[in-house]
Amino acid sequence: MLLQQLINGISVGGIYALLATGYALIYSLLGFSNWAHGEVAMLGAYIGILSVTALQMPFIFAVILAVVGAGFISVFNEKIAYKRIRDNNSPTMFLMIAAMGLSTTFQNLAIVVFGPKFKMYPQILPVGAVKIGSLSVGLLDLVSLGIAIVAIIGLEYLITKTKFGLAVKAASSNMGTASLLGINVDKYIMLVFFLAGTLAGISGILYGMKYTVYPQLGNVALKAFIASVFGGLGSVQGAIVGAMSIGLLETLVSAYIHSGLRDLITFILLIAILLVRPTGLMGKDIQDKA
Amino acid sequence: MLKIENLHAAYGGIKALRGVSIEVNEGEIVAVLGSNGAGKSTLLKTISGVMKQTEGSVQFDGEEMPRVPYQVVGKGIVHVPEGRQIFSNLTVYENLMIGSFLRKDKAQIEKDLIEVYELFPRLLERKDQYGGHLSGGEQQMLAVGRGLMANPKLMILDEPSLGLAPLIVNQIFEIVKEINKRGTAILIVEQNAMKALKICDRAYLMSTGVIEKSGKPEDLRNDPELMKAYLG
Ligand SMILES: Nc1ncnc2c1ncn2[C@@H]1O[C@H](COP(=O)(O)OP(=O)(O)OP(=O)(O)O)[C@@H](O)[C@H]1O
Ligand SMILES: [Mg+2]
Repeated sequence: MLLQQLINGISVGGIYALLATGYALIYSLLGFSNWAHGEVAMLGAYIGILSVTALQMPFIFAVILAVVGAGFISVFNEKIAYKRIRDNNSPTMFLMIAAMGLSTTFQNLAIVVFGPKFKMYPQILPVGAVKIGSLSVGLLDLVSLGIAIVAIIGLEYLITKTKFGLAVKAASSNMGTASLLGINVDKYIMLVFFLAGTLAGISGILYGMKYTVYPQLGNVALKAFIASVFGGLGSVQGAIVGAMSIGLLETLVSAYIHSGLRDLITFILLIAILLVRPTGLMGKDIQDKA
Repeated sequence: MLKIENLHAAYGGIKALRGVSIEVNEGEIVAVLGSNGAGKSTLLKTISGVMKQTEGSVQFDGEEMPRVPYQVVGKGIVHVPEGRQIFSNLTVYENLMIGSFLRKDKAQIEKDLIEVYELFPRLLERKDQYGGHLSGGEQQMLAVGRGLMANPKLMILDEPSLGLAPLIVNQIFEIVKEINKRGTAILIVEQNAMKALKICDRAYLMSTGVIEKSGKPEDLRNDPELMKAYLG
């Protein structure tokens, strides 16, 4: 029973992690909290569900369309709002305010265009559970966890082992100097938004399949935000650890204490972290020496 | 190789450059000297495309320089900025790799890396440390080494001696000379005029956005009025 809950917990954590890593990447690069990130996941989930139900597309194509679509929506936010604000040399606070505006806009648009009702993803995977010994784990949870793990390993590889990752780390450390040394910073920012958007899209689809799809689905990004603070703002590894911890915590609280306390405890955790260890579990504090 | 003509640049209403013309020839070390706020950094920023000029031209090997920094370095000019500007959350090695970001010649990059480690043995010792954990002098070495990794034809240096102990300053200047000997032209901006005049082939004296004088270091040094005004 406990083992089952733990697997369930990390599976939910994986969905949060997909969202939290992209959020952390954007934060590390631009230093602002992208509140519209959850809406990218929400729109991805809608693109997926509508492609299958309204357009009768094969599921795999619907997923690809949703993931790529979410990537482009994320880039759209960067192009129409964030980039212009940066180019104006406006305070970073403006980026966050713009993100809040985009978030509300997308949520309301979704209500108007898709309707306020909850939508169910059609049954793609056979319902039921996989039995491993005396354990019985939901098939969807297992698949979801597998996908999250593959995506996160891919992301880790990109960041730690490729020239793309090096450029992003350099730009997040010092944009001006990165560009002096040949890095087209705006291009890499755009690529990061695309990458973060695709991860959010995957997250949105998995979340929609586990629960339902609805216009406020993007509020789940708050969990990603907490995960990111918990792990250390701007740290991708921190976001993964934070997301897994929150997934586990929520599942265990729901199972053994009371499901009504789930969010309460998560938020108490957030406040505790902010008070006790504001740099998070893996936050960096490498400062420039004068 | 570098030919700057009648360069004007401004920050809003503040005219920081008012018709600057300078030249750097193949193989030279050229110094631009002047006090705080003379416009030295602005001149370098305009060369590397960080600032856009309102008037005038920046030509390199007969070609007008692009006005986007990330394209300028590909043309063979690397700007080592004021205040070192190390990537603090990258290791020393990663900092150096960013220097060679645009290059494709893997084998030559390896050789240049070895050469940089030869010039700065300290960087080899600390290659896996974060840039932010280096001392000021080590950071300056890293900034110069990182610039070298771009394999520049011309290196422009903004006050490499800033805030460093005299011993380290001497070291840095020796290395600048050595880099020049190995075939890279140097344009160096300094407040430490005596030191800069010792290593340069020619110097320009700048104040409030204009070049006031230029010449060989020995001539400038022998001009008592200039010595008083610029060199303290
Ligand atoms: N970002 C900026 N915004 C507005 N004015 C600026 C800016 N940077 C420089 N200036 C102004 O432009 C002029 C030239 O500055 P610059 O930094 O080029 O001087 P400098 O010769 O490099 O001085 P220092 O030796 O102190 O580095 C100064 O009057 C300065 O106040
Ligand atoms: Mg300066």
